[in-house]
Amino acid sequence: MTRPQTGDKELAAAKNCIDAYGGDIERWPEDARNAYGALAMSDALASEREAALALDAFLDAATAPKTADDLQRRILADYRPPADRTGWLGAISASLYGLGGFLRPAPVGAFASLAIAGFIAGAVTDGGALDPEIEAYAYLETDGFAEAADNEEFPWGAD
Amino acid sequence: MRARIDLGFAADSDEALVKRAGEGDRQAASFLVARHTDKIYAVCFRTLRNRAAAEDATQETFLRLWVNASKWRPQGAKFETWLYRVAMNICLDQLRKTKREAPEEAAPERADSAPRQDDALLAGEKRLAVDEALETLPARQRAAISLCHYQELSNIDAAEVMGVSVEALESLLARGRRALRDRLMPMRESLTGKMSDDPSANWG
Repeated sequence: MTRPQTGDKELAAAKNCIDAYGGDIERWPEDARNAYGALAMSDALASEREAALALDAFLDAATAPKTADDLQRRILADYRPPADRTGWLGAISASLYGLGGFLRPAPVGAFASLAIAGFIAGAVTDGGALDPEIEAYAYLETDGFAEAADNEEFPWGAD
Repeated sequence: MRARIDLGFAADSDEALVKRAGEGDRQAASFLVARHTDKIYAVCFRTLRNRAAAEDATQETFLRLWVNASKWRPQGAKFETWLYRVAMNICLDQLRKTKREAPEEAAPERADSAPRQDDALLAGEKRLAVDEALETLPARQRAAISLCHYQELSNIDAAEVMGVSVEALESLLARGRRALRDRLMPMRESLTGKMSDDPSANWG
């Protein structure tokens, strides 16, 4: 086992790990723990580590989220087998499917769902099939996080 | 026989369950819900700080999963990371919308953040102080702490959920923790009833 180097650079790196991940090195990423864990446990960073442990303890005292008893039932009520969403009637069903969020109180993303649903409904051809391009677009829209991330549009504002 | 089938599902990977749910298997969908609802709700609640909004965000997250289940492809990401990312996307959209439409309600910082001497020793006081301190954090810092400290995601997974580099995640974590420390440290005395030379003695 190699002894930790205690240069200013290593000390700063260990302190950065304490600042980011807290005082319990068991909760650090493995590579950081291997590189700077011993240094973080040394006297040189004792006060920083103790203060971080104190904050960890405070964080653990925060209110624990508790899900409502019927949340899982409500989520499963939204589930529709894909068989329900194929064909001409299925396209309408799929459109309405996206409206699930819209019909809930204080919906999240409901307007996006509505727009997508309308888009899909408008894409139904005389034969009852979806225009493949439109269908693909609708998929990307509902899967938008990946596209947004790729285009650096992920909704993180500057803090 | 039914129990054996259930056990089979329980042992399935998320990816296998998503595939089956996408093929119309409701039981696979129910296992995904049972396995992930609490975790998704927790991160939504800690990001939105509102029970009803967190439930809506959780429900919306799974709705997007159902819509996309038949087409979902791993593409290198773990399913759980994918799901967290969808949830976080929804939460941040919600916060942006709330801020735009009702700015007076978007910043839940309470004016009465000073320690209250009269009930400083009540067990709930510490929890309240932490909850309030978390509410004052910028959403991204709060999300980073929620994912790493509470959900115990790896730094790589948390960074992927948030769409940032690991270095940016560490910066968010450090800034968030520093802000919490600045806010909570001065309250130690009122929350514990006494001060100590040991910086951690009153924090347990």
